[in-house]
Amino acid sequence: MNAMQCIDRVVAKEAGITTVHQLIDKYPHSDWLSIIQQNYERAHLDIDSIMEIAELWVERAMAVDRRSLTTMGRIVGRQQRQSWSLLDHRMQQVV
Amino acid sequence: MTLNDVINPEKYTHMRVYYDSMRKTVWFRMGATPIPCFMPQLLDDINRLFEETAEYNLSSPLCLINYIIIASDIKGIFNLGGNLALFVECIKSRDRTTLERYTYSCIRAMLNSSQSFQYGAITIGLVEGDALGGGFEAALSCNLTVAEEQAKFQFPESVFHLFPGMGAFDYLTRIIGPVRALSLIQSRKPIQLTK
Repeated sequence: MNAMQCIDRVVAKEAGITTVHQLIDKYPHSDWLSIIQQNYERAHLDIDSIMEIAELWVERAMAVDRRSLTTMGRIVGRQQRQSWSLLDHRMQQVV
Repeated sequence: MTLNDVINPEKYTHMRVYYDSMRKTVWFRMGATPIPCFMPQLLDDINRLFEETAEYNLSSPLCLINYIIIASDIKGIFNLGGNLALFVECIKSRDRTTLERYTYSCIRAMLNSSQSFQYGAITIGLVEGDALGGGFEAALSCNLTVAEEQAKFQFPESVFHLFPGMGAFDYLTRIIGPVRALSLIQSRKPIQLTK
């Protein structure tokens, strides 16, 4: 899978903000609007399909087994620990 | 509706909003404590910002919001995706209504992000850290996406026998076609970014 198909620009660490500014400055806003409008018309979003998949997702979620629930619970725990360690790191930087 | 109404930082509890007047750009950086995932309050903040921007741009002859940048305030994480703690709670208590409401709120945010250009506000996703599940979907919903090379993109939902249900398949299909979209969703593998 080539990430370049999903991501418009891949840049070095810390270069993201500058790249956003460069993208904005590259064309006048009206030109960007035309480009995005054309892209959108070429590959229209199927909102009915999005809604159908979302409904299917709710069905599936309500039917997940105990083991999957346990896995989700474990991931939540891991995410919480990760968040706390990030907060600790930020607090230490502030101190 | 004035510009100051839209960007008033006090209105947003789960994200930091600021305005770059030179580029007519609203930045919002997602925070979302305790976990940087799509908490319902964060989704409310996002939808409020988009919908007030629409109201403002459509009524203002100057149209002062040309771009909306979606980024994160958490170093190393763009967004971890769906609110798993809420999922577990809803599934255990058989609360389908809350789960449905959450799903619609996610889809509303995705559609707001991908269609805001229709009232003049182009969305740019700035991904400086990991974008997992719904975080990846959020990046896909933007009109343009910039990612830093250390960012990881992944759909981990199949680990707990679910799938990304808030638009991933449709957004990916537009870019890479249905077969490759499905393969990416099922693979669980992180996408390697190369410059």
